[in-house]
Amino acid sequence: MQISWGDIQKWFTQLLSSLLVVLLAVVSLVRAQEYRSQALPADQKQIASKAGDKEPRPALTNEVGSEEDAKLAVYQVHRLAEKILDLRSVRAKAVELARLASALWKHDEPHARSLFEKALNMTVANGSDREARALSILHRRVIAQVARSDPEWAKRLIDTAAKREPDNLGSRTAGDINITTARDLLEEDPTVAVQFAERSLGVGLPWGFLGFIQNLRTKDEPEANRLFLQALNSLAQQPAVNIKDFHLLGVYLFTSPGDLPHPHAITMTVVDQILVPNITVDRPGVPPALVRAYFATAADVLWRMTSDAEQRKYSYALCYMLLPKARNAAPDLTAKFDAVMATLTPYVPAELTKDSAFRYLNPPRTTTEERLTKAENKPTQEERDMAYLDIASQAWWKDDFKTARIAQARISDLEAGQRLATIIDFRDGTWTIKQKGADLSKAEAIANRMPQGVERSILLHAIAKIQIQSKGPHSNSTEETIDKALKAARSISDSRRPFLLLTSAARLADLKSPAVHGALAEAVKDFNSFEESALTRLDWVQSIQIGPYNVRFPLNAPNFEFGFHEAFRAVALADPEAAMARAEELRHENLRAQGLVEVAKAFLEKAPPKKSEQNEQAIRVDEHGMRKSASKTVMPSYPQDAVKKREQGVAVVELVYDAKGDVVDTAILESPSRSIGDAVIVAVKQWKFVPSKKRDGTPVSIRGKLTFYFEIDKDGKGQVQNPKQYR
Amino acid sequence: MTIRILNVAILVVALVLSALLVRKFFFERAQQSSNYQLTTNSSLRIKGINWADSDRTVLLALSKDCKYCSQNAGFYRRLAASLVSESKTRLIAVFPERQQGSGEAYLKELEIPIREVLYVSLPSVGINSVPTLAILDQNGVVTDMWGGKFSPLEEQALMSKLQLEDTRSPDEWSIDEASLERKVADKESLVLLDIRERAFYAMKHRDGARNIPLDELRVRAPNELPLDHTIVIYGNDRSEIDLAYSILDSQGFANLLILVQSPTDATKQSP
Repeated sequence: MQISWGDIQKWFTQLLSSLLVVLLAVVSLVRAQEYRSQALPADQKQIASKAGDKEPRPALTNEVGSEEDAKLAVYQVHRLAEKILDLRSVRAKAVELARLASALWKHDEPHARSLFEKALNMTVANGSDREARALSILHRRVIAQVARSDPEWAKRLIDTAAKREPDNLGSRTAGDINITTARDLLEEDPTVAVQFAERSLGVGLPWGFLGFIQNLRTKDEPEANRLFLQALNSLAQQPAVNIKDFHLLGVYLFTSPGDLPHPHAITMTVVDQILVPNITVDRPGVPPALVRAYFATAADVLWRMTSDAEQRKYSYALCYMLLPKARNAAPDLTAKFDAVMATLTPYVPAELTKDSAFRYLNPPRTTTEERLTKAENKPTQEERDMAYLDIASQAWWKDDFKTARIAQARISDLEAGQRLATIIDFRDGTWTIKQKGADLSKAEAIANRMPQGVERSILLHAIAKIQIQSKGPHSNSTEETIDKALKAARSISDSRRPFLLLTSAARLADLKSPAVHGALAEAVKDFNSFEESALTRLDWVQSIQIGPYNVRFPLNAPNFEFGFHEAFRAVALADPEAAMARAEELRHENLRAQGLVEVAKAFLEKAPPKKSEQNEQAIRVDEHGMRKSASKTVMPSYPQDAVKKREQGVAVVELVYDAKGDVVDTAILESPSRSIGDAVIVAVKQWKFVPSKKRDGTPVSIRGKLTFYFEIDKDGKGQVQNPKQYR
Repeated sequence: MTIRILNVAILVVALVLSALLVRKFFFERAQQSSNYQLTTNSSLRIKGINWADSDRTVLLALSKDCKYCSQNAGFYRRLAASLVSESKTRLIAVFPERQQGSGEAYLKELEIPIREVLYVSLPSVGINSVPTLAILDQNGVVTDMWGGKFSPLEEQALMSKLQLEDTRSPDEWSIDEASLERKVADKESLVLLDIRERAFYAMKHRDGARNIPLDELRVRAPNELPLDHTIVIYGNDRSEIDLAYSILDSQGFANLLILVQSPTDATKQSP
């Protein structure tokens, strides 16, 4: 066979053509793959690869329909606001309008603002009579609601409210409103809550401050520690420090020996004839710098020596508790504590200076057997029963049901013994469902052996809620549990009954059961059968009395809310129109208004959320980053009064801007004067920023600081400057 | 003739496409591998170095056009001088390959006595920034690593790690309580700078101290601190003081001192 040059050329051409075709195919495949992986969102990539190579179709949206639904929901809320405004009771109108405005804020800010204004205006009080005081309390509650939507407005309102008080009460009122607002906001918005807590410090330690920082510690420990130091500092700067407040603040760092029912619980111990917080044991994990700061301030404060006889006793007791700790934590201060005690000794009762006065701070531990034997040896039956009740209640708190039942069985008072047995069963049942991978059948068995009544109803409701959460809203056994809870509730004779009936309706609503309508109607009828005063002073506690000894057992259960709001909202979410009709049947205006607000919330909750709603955490950037991303800047003006008073220096403001680039939160960290601080706030609120995004494209809020210099030149003219780097 | 031109055209297109594919699959992968970063506990291999030749090796990755390398020169000089008499520790300087032959002159110019100089592709061995100082054991495993400008506290830490005595007097960068009191009494031009959070400053601070929290220092220092004054820094935390020192140093504050606090100094503070 002869191969000609022409054949070779032909083969070569065919070979190259085939190679080219293969290469083109490979390149186009690679390019297509790249394109697809860039174009598809992460969650669709997997679906596309499973379904072969078909391009997925974009999800269909019905934006026009959603917008209409949202508008309709807002319209319904306006109608509900009108209904609340028609009520006679100022309390019902003011507080519930404010709650409604707070819910409406995100959807219709101008209308919400006007509702807030109405609520504020109807609660402005002048004078100090009983009615004025009641109005003033309502006004505070309205401000607390305003703070959820517009914290800066709330701050101004608090300052105005304080000015209305007599001079000596103004700061204390402001402190009280600020801390109440802070506590209210803690779950929803810890950052803003901290701002209000900071503002509450001024005159002493406002009631609730310690609880606030203890709760904050579980969410943001550095911030809680910072507030603690601020409180310490604020107390130390008082002309006359209240030693009781100072002592109480120590509970943040120290606790008492033995088991406490709650990590935030405070043990008050009798020392001679006064009652003081027991702070003899170190709390684990507390930074030594805080302890050191507390000791250093304590040494200063105690050294000042008060002339008040009562305060001297508390000073001595505090010194007694701190001295042994100071030997380890701050040895350089022990001499000062020693000197304080020596100086106080002649001025306090002699009994207080003896070690025996402090014997209850760390009582010797006794075993259960020893305590039971001691109880047995009491001379009278009543004393024995009281001792057994004491042992049972302590074991109850520690979830030691075996001991609690042993002590309960020895109580001779049959009625008290039986009631205690039910309370122990209740705690045992709630403890069982609190455990990981809870054995619900065991809890149900406990509930089934309990007599009809409030404990059984609460326990069954708690079990039902867990069943709904774990199984979803389709279960016959859950409906049976709710039915049993409902029956148990019906057997109660006091005003807790309608609340438990409403809770049953709420659980049936969660289950999407048609029985919800009947249960709601029954609850509403039942609410109407009680007087309003009976419904407002509810006590979710069972108490047992033997002789003069009374023990209270709180009926807390996991997942169980006793509130009207949560239960009514659950019902309203299932069918807002029906819930609205039932709410209007409520005889008592307060309850009616509360019901209508929950219906409003349900309307808004069911409406599609606004696009701008983002649930993101602010990311911190430095000043350079803040200024680089600013798209509109406004320099603060120099307030005339500040120029006149020659107030000058640096002002530092911290701000947060949201995913749209709008400033949503501001706080002055440093400023030569209040008016300069206000001017800075006014200016930075007008700044706009380029919206920031995370790497994955998620919009994000940004937090950062800005610095301004306020300077007065030789001619007395005020000038506001950026830092040199940004001029 | 037409067929020949067509053949050549097909060949050219095929070659271009092949080159693109090769680039995509091999070159980009090679680039990815250069993202490797040397860290402590990772091992390092450099051609021409046998780590087992000495008990440990101090490796100094430098570049003649790096600002911090020149700023660290004083410390490198002291380090190299201390290691001359230390037989167990070997000191090697490595420069980027592209600076072949100029590293020795650079070290001579800065009077840093390092005899062993090598040229390597720094990213290929995981060194992505200069200056980097690494201490390696006999197996070439990095036991400690530092990067960037050395602060006095870092210098101190490194020297004590190598069990070397620093010839630089602590008086050059630190000041004790008694000396500070003397300087204040003599009305020397100094600023006592408290870099702690406002809340800590508000609690207690030293007499006459000025508070600029650390996170605001970079912006505020050039506006508020006089360059010709001695700045005495104090705070709660060594690493924060160290960072404050580095910030001020890089901003041209020449007279910086760190206040050495004794445990009982707190009593000398005033509210």
